[in-house]
Amino acid sequence: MQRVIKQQEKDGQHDPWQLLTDVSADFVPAGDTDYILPLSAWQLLAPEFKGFQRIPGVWLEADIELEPLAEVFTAAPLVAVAFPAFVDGSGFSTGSLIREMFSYKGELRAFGSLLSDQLGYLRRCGYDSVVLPDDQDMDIAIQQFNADMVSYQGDVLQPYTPFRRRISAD
Amino acid sequence: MFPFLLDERVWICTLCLLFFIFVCLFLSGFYPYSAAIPDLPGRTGLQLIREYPTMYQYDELDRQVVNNRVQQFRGQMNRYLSGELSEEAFLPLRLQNGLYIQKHAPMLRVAVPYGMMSAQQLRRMAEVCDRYDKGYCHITTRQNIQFNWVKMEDVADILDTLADVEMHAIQTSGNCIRNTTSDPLAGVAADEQTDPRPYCEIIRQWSSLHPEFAFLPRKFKIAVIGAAEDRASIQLHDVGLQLVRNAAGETGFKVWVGGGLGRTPMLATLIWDFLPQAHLLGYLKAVLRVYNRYGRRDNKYKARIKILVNSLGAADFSAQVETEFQRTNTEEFQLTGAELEHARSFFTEPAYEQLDADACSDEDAPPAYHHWLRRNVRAHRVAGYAIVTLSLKYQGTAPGDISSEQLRRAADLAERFSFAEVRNTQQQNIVLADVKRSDLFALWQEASRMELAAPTIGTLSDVVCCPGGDFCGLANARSLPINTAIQQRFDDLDYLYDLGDLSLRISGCINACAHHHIANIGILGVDKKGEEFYQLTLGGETGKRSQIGKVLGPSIPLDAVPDALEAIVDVFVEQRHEDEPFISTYQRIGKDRFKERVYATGH
Ligand code: HEM
Ligand code: SF4
Repeated sequence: MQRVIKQQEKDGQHDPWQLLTDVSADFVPAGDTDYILPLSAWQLLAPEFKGFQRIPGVWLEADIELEPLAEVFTAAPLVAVAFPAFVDGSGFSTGSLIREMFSYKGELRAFGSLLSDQLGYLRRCGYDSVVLPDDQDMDIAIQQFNADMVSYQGDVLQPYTPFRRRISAD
Repeated sequence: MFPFLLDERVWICTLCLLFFIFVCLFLSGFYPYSAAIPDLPGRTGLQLIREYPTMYQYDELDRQVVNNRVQQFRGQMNRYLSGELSEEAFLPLRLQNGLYIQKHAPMLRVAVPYGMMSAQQLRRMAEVCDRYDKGYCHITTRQNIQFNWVKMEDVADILDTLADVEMHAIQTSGNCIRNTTSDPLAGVAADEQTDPRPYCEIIRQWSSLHPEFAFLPRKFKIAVIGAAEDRASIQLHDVGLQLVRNAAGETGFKVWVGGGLGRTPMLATLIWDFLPQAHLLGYLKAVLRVYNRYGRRDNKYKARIKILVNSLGAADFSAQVETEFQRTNTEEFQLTGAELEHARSFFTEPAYEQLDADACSDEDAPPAYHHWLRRNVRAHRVAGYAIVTLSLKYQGTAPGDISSEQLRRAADLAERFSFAEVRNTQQQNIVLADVKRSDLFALWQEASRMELAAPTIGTLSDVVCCPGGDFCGLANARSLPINTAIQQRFDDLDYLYDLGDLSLRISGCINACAHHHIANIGILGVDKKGEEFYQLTLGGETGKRSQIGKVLGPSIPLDAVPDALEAIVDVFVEQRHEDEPFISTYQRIGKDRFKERVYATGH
C-alpha cells in the first residue's frame, strides 16, 4: 500500500487518491474513485471530466514549463509533482513556483524518488502531502514533515528575509 | 543633611551590594557576549559589547538554526553508522555538511564565512586539530578550513564544538549554495567603496538551509566585493557581485553569472549593471530558480550554471531571470533599510587610534625585516595602520597547512596587534588587517619565530596548491612534490624578488581546487597511461582583471617540471622590459617563445 504522509497526520491516514501513470483512450473512471491523472490526459478531459465523480487531480514532471498551466492550477484540487531522483531537486522550485506564482491553494503532493530526510524542505516549499517510497523511514519522515522549523527564510507561504523579524522584535 | 552617608560602613555595604548586583546581571546573561569573548589584554568587560567590532555575532535564531542542523546531522550519521541509511542516501546529506571521503580518511570542511575568524575561533580550530585530527589543518582557496583526518564517529561532536564558537560546516560541499566568499581586505582596503561583509552575511543566512536550493544540478558559489580591485575572483564564481553606486548615489550591485573552473573554465558574464541593493535576495532567488529548473542534470561536467548561461546565451538567460524576478519579487523578499542597517552594525570600524602616518618601527632592523615589509605588508586606509599577511608557505610544509601551535600563536598575534580578528585568503594565507605601523617590527619577530613570516607573498614561491595525489582520491597526479621541487629550485630570495609578482598554482586534477587556470603559470596533473604527467598553462590572472590561462603544449612528466619552469622564467628574464611583471611580458610577447624553450629540451 502506498504510504502518504500529510501534514499533522499519522501513518496510514485514509488517502482517497489513485494516481494513474498512463490513461488509455478507452479508460472509464470508476464512479467511487478520486484519480490523479497525467497532465496530458487531464487537459484532454477538461473541463467536463465526463464520468468522474469530481474534478481529478493532476500530476506533472518537475521540469515542465509552468506558464501555460494557469488554468490547471485554478481547477485541479490536487497537483502532484514527480521527483525523478532524490538528488534532482528541480521539484523543490517547481512546488514553490506553483504556490508563489499561481497562488495555488489546493493540495500539493510530492512523489517519486525521495528521502525521508527531505521532508522538512518539501514542506517549506509548499508541499502538504508526500508519497513516501517503501525503503524510507516513516518515523523520520513524519517527524521531519511536522517539525517546528526555525529558519532564516520562512517558507513559501510565509517567506521573510533573514533579519526582518529579528529586528522588528527589538 | 544625610549624616548616615558619612558612615563608612554604609558605603562599603552599598558598594558590595552594587557589586553583587552587577555580578548577578553579568552571570545571568545581561552581558550578551560573555561566553563568546576570551580575555583580551588591556580591555575591560563592558567595553566589549559587540567587540569583535568587525565580526558578525550570533543571536538566538542563528544558534537555533545551527544547533538544529547539528542534531539532525547527528541523527543522520547514527543512522548511517548503524546501516539504516544507505551509502547512496547519506552521500548528499553528508556533503551538505562538508564531509568528504578521501584517500586515507574522511575530510571535514568548515565554513569560514567570507574568510573572517576571531582569535577565539582560531583557538577552537587548534583544539579540533589536536583532539580529532593530526595536529594541523588546511586553509582552502575559498577561505574555508579543512580537517583531513577526522573520524566519522567524531564528526557530530566536532560540529557541536564548532557551534559553541558560532561556526559550522553547513553547505561547504555538495550541490548546494556554498560558503559566500569575499575580499580578504574588506573594510580596510584603500580602494573600497562599500564594505561587502554585511551583504555577505545576509547572503550567508539566506542561503543556509534554504529549502529550495539544497539539491541543485551542481554546486553554486557566490562571491561579493566592494572594491575596485577584485581580490575574490568574482568572475570565477557562479554568481559574482560587485557593490557599486549609480549616478543618483544609490548602492547596488553589478551582477556576473556563469563563471567557474574545472573542465570547462569560463569567466562569468555581466548580466545586470545595477541591481538595487534592496532586491539582492529576490534576484538571487530568480537566478537559482532558473538554474534549478533548467540546468542540466544528465552530465556532471555540464551541470554548472556556466553551461546553462552559455547554451542559452547570456541575453536569453538574463531575460528568463528577469521574467522570474519580476513575477515573484514581492515585498517579502526585499531588504529594508533597517535590516541593512542592522547587518552593517556588526561591521563597524574598530577603535583606531590617531597615529602618525609614517611611524614605522626600526630603521636599522635586519634586511630580512625590510624584505618582509615590502612583500607581506600593505597600505591601510587609516593613517598609521598596515595590513599584514602571515605566510603559510614555509619551506617543507604543504601550502595552506597550519599547525595547532601556529593557530594559537596567530590568535595571540591577532589579539595583541589586530583587534582579535583574522581573515583567510584565496592564496591560502592569513591576513591581520589592522596592525599599527609602530607594532610591525614586534609582530615580525613573533611571526618569524612561528614560521609565519616567509617574506614571499605574491612571488613565485607563494604557491597555491591542492593536496593532490598524496591525499586526494580524485587526483591524477601528486601536486605537493612539484611544490617542493619548485621551492628548492627557486630558493634564492633575491632572485625571487627580482622576478617580482608571479603567481603559480598547482592542481592534481581537473577539478581545479587550486584554481590553476587563473595563475600566471598553472600546473595541472593529468593521467597518461597510469603515469603522472603535468599540463602547463600560461597567462592566467586575477585581481585587476581576470583571465584564463592558455595551455602551453603537450603534458610533461614529473621530473621535467622544474626544468620547464626554469625555462619559462629564463625567457621572462631575457624578454622583460625593466621591472615589468611576468604577466605583462607574457601578454607582450605571447606564448610561442616560452613554448619553444620549454619543448626545446627534448621532452
Ligand atoms: C583532499 C580533499 C579534497 C577533495 C576530495 C576535493 C574534492 C573536490 C572536488 C570533487 C571538486 C570538484 C567537484 C566539486 O566542485 O564538487 C573540488 C573543487 C574545488 N575544490 Fe576541492 N577537494 C579537496 C581539497 C581541496 C582543497 C585543499 C582546496 C583548497 C586549496 C579545495 C578547493 C576547491 C575549490 C576552490 C574547488 C572549485 C574549483 C572551481 O571553481 O570549480 N579542495 N574539490
Ligand atoms: S584538484 Fe583534484 S587532486 Fe586536487 S584536491 Fe581537488 S580533486 Fe583532489
